[in-house]
Amino acid sequence: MMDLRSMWSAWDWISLPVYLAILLYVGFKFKERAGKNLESFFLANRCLTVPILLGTAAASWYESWTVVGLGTSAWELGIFLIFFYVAVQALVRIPLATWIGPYVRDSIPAHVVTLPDLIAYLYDKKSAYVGGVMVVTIAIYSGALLFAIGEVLHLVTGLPLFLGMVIAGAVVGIYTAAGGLYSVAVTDCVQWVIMAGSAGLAAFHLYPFVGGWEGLSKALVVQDPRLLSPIGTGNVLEAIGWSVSALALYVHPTSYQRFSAARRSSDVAIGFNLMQVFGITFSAVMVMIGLCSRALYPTLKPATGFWTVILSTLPAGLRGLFVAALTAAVMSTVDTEFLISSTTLVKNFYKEIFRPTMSESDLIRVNRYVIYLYCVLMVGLTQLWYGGISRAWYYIGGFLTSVFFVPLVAGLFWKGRTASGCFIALVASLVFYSLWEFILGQPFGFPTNLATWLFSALVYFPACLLTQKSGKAGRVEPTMGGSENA
Amino acid sequence: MPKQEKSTWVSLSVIMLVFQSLFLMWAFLTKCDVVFFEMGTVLIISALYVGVGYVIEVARGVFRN
Repeated sequence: MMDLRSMWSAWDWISLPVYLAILLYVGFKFKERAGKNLESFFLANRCLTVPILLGTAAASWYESWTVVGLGTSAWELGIFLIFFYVAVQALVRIPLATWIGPYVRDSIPAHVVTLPDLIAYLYDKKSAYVGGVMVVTIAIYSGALLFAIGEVLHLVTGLPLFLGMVIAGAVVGIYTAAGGLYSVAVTDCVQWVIMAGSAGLAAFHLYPFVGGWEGLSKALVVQDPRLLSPIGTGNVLEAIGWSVSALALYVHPTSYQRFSAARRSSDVAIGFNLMQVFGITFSAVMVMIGLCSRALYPTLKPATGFWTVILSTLPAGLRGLFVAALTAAVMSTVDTEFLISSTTLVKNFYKEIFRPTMSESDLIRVNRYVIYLYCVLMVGLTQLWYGGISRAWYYIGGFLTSVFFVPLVAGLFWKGRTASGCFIALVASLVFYSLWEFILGQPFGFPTNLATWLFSALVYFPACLLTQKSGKAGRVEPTMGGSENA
Repeated sequence: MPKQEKSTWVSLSVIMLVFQSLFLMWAFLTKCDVVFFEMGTVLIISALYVGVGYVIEVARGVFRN
């Protein structure tokens, strides 16, 4: 087995701390500007234009799971992932980028800042509280992302796993708390340049390394011929399950934050569609690296094989860049999740329940403390992922989509929606998900996210129709601490 | 930006997205070697677009408001 640590040079040891220091500098540079009010802290005063929107959305969305998780899933499932996840995700998200994003930017009032605000705006406060469960889900997923960075730093540098996670979490927490979305957007652009640039160079270097498709196919056929079939080693239900998880961008708070932070609605449509073009290409490169690792290093653990391919393929100098890209991928996602989760907790729960008269400056101050606390929690949650993160997004993305997709997307456009219908559908879907996954253990092998998604639609529409006469139909103005910002 | 020009750019971005999805599926299905270079080129263009675009936008004062 190749000694990965021997490839890590002194230059790489210098470049990583310098990179982290630059991120901290950006955070403090925007501290004053971000601290003016909640809109500047959470939405960067709605100033993001196409290139910045593209950079920040892509860097936030294509993260360490896309780098390591997708690669290791390809090791197991083959080109199946291209057909039922990578390409599908682009096609199913066209309506989100082209119509829903611009609609949210232009039609949703400025005081609707967080996703619970949006649920409260479309339905009522009760449903918005249920929407808070997203914060917990995102926290668990952020733990998987931090674990990925700890693991790669441990593999290639020998740094203790826990220390790598603590350093990465601390740097993200500090610059996010200081500069809010300003620092997140700027650092995301830098991070996407590193991520896309190094993945692009890796694609060029992979060709001679594996001998093109001919060499790759020959090696994979020996391992398992199904790896080269579109249906791969999966089955139809699993294929649909992966496709459902690709819809998660419709319900992820990151999307709605970026839509609201755009300068114009046309910037959203152009920026998000372009982001998908570049993002699916980035994902496809990771699938290709996963296939190469299966072909060349079948006896290694998938994650180790993945990094062995990266470090063997890339020339000296670019190796450190790719590790920095993973660091960037994690940080650019975790910073957004820190920001969204802390603002939701403080604005929609702490202020609403305990301090309704809280000023905006106090809200931002408390928000910063909560980001630090969240950071500690994330490091603790990494314990859940020591078995590997290859299925992290299948479960987390699938959960978010299955529970929230129907009420959120229907709520934006369907005039027959009711607050009671939404509340019933959300609670019933949460109960159904737990029952199907944890108690019944996925009966008939039917994926939980797909079953819950269908169940959610079956409950939501009849519940709305049955409760329309109760007088709760129509939009309810948000009361979760947002109205004073209007 | 005039409305017609916006529609053109939005349509163009959607067309690129559909093309790239179909291209990737076709290339992985037919095992076409070109995909290695196409993916590399697209990603390097993406890095340049965001990097240069960011510098231009900052010079135009996007963060000054």
